[in-house]
Amino acid sequence: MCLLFGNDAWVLTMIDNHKKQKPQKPIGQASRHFIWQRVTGLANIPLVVFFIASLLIHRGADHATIIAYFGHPLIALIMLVFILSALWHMRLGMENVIDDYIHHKAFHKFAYLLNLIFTLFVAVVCILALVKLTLT
Amino acid sequence: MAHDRQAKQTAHIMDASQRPLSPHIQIYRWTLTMALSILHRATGLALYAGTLLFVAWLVAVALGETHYVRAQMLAHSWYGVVILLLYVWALFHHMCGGIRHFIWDMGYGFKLRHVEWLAWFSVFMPFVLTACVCYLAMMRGS
Ligand code: HEM
Repeated sequence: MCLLFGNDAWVLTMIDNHKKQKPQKPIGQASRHFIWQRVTGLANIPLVVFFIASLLIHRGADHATIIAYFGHPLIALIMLVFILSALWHMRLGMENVIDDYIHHKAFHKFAYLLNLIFTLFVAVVCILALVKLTLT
Repeated sequence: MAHDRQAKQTAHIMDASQRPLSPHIQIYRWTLTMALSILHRATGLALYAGTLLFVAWLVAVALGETHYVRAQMLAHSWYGVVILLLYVWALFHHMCGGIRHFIWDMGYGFKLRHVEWLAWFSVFMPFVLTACVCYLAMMRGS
């Protein structure tokens, strides 16, 4: 656990508390952001490799072959996990960037909202496309 | 007493705009690690925008043969290839940068020697990986 999540003080306290079976302190917003950024980043590594390898294997393939491959339930499931992980990671990363550059409260809120809308838009379109792929 | 009063009266002069500043960014000499830090953010943002390409491709596949063929044609045009190569390079660069972050998060790699070594790793590795993808893509067709 420590290895995975680094030496963020909150995380270590949380793990210590857990070890001692003490009532656990609620984990802060910032730590949760940090942890999910790392978890999704870590998950992205094999998923990205998987996706690029899939494309390389099917370079120049015709439509039927691509559909058969990505429409396979297992492959579609991996693609779903890839999409969710990458998009979640992307949203959290952009929140950091917004925090760094946009200080005006209203603009900051607005930027967060746009970020969320973009992420949800991409997610919904991807998932619809995946569903259609699996059903054809 | 008079001295105190004077100090009180002049205290407001040292307001926020007059406090000494820490050296601003143009004072620092460029270092590799600085450039890489910026590049990690830049590639992250590029990937953010790049998801639109991914979506477009996935939708084209889902929509059917004609759209898929058109997407393939775009991807194989010279600008398509350039964009894809940049995309793949950005992805690998960001991934290697991320791995470097993970190593630091685990509490390793802070010795100056290791920092340098990791920096060069994340400079060269993305090019090596992109070249590998390029080679594999060119093998047989496509
Ligand atoms: C391939 C595997 C990936 C790994 C290992 C990875 C790792 C990371 C890590 C560790 C951070 C945090 C950096 C920090 O706290 O300073 C980060 C930030 C970020 N990532 Fe990724 N990432 C990956 C893929 C992606 C993808 C696919 C996207 C976009 C679709 C993306 C977008 C971002 C953005 C926008 C940031 C914020 C940049 C910043 O704060 O400077 N990442 N990534």
